[in-house]
Amino acid sequence: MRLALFLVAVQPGPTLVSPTPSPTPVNTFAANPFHVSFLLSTLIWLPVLAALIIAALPNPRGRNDRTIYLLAFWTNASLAFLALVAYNQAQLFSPSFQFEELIRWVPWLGISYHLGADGITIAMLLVGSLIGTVSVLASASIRERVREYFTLLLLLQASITGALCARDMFVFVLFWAAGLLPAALLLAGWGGPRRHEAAIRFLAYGAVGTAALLVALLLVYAATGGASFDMNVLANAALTPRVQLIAGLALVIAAATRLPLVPFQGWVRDALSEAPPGLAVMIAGIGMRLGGFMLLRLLISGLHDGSRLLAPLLGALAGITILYAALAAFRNDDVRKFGAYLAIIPGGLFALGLAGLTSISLLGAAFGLITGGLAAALAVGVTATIAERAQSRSLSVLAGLAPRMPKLAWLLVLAGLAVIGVPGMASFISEVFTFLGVFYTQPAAAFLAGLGMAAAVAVVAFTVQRVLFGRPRPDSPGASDASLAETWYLGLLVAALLWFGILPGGPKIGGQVTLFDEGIVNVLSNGSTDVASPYVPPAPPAPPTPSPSPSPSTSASPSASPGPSLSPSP
Amino acid sequence: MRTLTLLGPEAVVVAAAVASLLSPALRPRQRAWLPAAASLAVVLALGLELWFGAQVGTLFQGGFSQDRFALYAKGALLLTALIIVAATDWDPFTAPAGIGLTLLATFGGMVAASAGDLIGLWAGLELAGLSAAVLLGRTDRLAARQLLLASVGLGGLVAVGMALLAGSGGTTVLADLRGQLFQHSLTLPLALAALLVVGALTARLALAPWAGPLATGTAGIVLLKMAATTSALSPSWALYVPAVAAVAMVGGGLAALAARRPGPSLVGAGMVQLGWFLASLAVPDRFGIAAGLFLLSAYLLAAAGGPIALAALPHGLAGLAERGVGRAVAFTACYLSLAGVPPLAGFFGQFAVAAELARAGLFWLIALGVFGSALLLFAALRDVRLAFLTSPGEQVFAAPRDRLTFAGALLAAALVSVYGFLALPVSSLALQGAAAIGLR
Repeated sequence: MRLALFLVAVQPGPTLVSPTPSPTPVNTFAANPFHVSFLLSTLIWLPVLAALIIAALPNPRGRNDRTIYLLAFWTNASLAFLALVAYNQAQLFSPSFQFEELIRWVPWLGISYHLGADGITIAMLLVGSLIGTVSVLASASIRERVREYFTLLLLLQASITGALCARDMFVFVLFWAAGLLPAALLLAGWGGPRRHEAAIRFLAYGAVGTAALLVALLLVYAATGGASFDMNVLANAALTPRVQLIAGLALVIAAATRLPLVPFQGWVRDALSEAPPGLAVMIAGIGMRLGGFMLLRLLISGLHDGSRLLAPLLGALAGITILYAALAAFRNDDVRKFGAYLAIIPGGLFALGLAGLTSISLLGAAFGLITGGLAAALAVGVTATIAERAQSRSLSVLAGLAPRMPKLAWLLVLAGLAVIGVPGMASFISEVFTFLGVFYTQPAAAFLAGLGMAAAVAVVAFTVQRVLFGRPRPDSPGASDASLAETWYLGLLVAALLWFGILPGGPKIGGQVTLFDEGIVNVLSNGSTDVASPYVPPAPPAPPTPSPSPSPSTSASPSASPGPSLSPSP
Repeated sequence: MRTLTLLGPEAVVVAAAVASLLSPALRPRQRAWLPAAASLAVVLALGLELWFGAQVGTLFQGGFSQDRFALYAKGALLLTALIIVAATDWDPFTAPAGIGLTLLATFGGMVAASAGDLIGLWAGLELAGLSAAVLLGRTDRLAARQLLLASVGLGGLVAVGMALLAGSGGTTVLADLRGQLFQHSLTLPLALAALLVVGALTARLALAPWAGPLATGTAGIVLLKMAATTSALSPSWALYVPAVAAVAMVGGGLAALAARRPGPSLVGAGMVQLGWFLASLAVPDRFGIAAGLFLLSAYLLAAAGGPIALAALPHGLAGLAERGVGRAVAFTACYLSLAGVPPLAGFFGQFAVAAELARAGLFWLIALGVFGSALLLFAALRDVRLAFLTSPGEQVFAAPRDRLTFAGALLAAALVSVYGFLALPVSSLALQGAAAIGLR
């Protein structure tokens, strides 16, 4: 029923222009039970504090391994709770950023410690904290240098959260770059046999991305007179199209190294296939999404002319990336690399949504950040677990696993379905939004991406059939099903995908009173409406009406743009 | 009397240096307390500097001037000296000379930081340089001889340049000279004199691997003061400084990447950061110099802590964390700070310089700097992985832990870690410092 409501919602109709969707708030059961000052800072610095405690904890002969693991887990569980508080308290009808914190930092450079969260950030924080918890659960099998591992993992998590919350460009770059080394060290210290090459490659692409981001940032900063690094100031500055184009191109390169997009995808295969499962889940689930988030926040929100000029390029890159990922997944013989290639697809879909530059495609892209992260994390997590449990990564050796590992078989099927976006999965909604919006403005890119998705469906079907239901090889090593911790972490990802897919508007009592979840789409549209508003074409002049008093509903939604309503409804 | 209190920190440092140099007369057991006593003296000097340094005043007819620049620079030098004195694993027999010379070099830097005229500036520079050369002579006589020769030669060039400038301006007082130079049109002799001073001081920065952080810091302080004084002549070194900065940033990155041992790798990282520091002089206004000062102090802290953490490591970096966690943490924090990795001190300093370069439109220099720093990332990954994620081997024993050494190492790590969080007061003081040396 809810799905049907969504399909109704995405039918072409009047597009909302105003950043304030409606003056009528949704009734929420037990809403706003907490008031937490410095909530965002707590989300950022709590993992850092936990990391410092863990780093200082004596651990002779691994005697405190369990304590360290539990400390990391409960830190993440607390973060998830706090993120849920933020999600629950999000003001759906507030156009501005919420939970803002502003402290002067380096005044003469115009740097301030400015944090804030709109709907997109809040949803990302929720998913990020969930991925963090899942990542710790996925790291239950770590036995060597446990203290160092969880210290680095928590530092990585803090850096990602910091970048999500940043409202100052300096703060954003600081957190963006701060995560590179912990991730590379995790990869180099606990990865598979080719971990060193993977870490070097990861770092190389990360360095290129950071350099491109710095260039873009400093270019915009200089062009605006060097007054401030605040995103609000930079976004409202009048920049020439030339500056916007150069800065935008640098931002696209920076994002392409993270999402990743072709031709900057070189690190993903090795990093995700060599990383320990916990790190792979963290990178695929939220680390890679950071590139997309940056593009949405800086390019689409701030450089409107640059976005319009670069949209065809972005669309082409998106289409090529999806097609490349599908074909590469088909070509390879390693189950972990298969998962890594699948994890590239959501990034391509996200970029496609951005290239559309319509309200609906941008909402699809924003939703894709969430669903793509969950789907990618599930894909790399389940393939890593299968490789570990089946004692082989070779697809030619793995066959007929379904009877021997039924839980993992189901999870692999669900991961495949999540990446290709079947109804019932959250990724279905984001993909439908994306394609509906993009076909109006970037038909060629949409066609290319559609072709890629068709190939991905075929690859997933073929590989799943081969791995799960193929004829078992007599010489294949023994296989066992997922452990409790593995089942939990993968199950949590599936549950989130299903929850957001089946109840995107949140559960309601009697269709009126919202329970604890106001609906991911409603929260997301709070931010995406602001982002999309500059790209809505101006409304044609209204024909003179004979009626003396015009209807308020027609004046409130004047756009003639084809596209569905973004009002938070279902 | 009140203005004489301004000399309190210098007096404490000189007294401690003299006492340390005379301490070989003490018994070995008494000498064991020397590092702790010297550390206390430096802490006392730092406290006095922060207490009395807020006053603004001049002594010796303008030869000594206490202003915000002096406060900032002396504070940075004293913290650097504190790290060196406390964190170094001193040998009881050579400690008196080592600590005494370190404190003398600090005193030289303090003289240069407070100097109101060219003579004081030169004297401070040479005192720090000579102390560093003698200090090096305790361990490597050949290198010390070469350093001495280079220091004397470059000191001579600086003196000639300063004399030419003083002759043209008719005064040796920095504030007056600055005013006089603004009234002159840029002639070839003046341009050559300015280029000579800046060039020789830049070359002194290149001696950093042998001269150590205190002498290098003194050269940096003198360079900033001379850049401010001769800002009217900045076109004469407008090409030279960015070119040298670019070479240092890229060359340092490549050197660190190519290094097989952690010591040279650290040296390469230091050169990259000194390149960034030099790049700040390409914007010789108040903000550019403030960014340079802000970065210089970050460099000093990291350059002091990093090599000390590496000193006397017979088994290299492998498994350093298991052998001495304080050293491993200090080495990592200092190395990453030199590499400009956020959120450590070096990142903040480098970013401030990059922002000023962007304002001036010098994007090519930013690009080269970012490239050099990116190269350092790979070297950092290699060395940090060795220190923390590899086994020290079976035959390697843990390094003996001295409380003061451990505390000194942790102090270095803590300072480069919290530097960014204290950026509001620190950077504001740097800006006031740049204003104090005549830049508006």
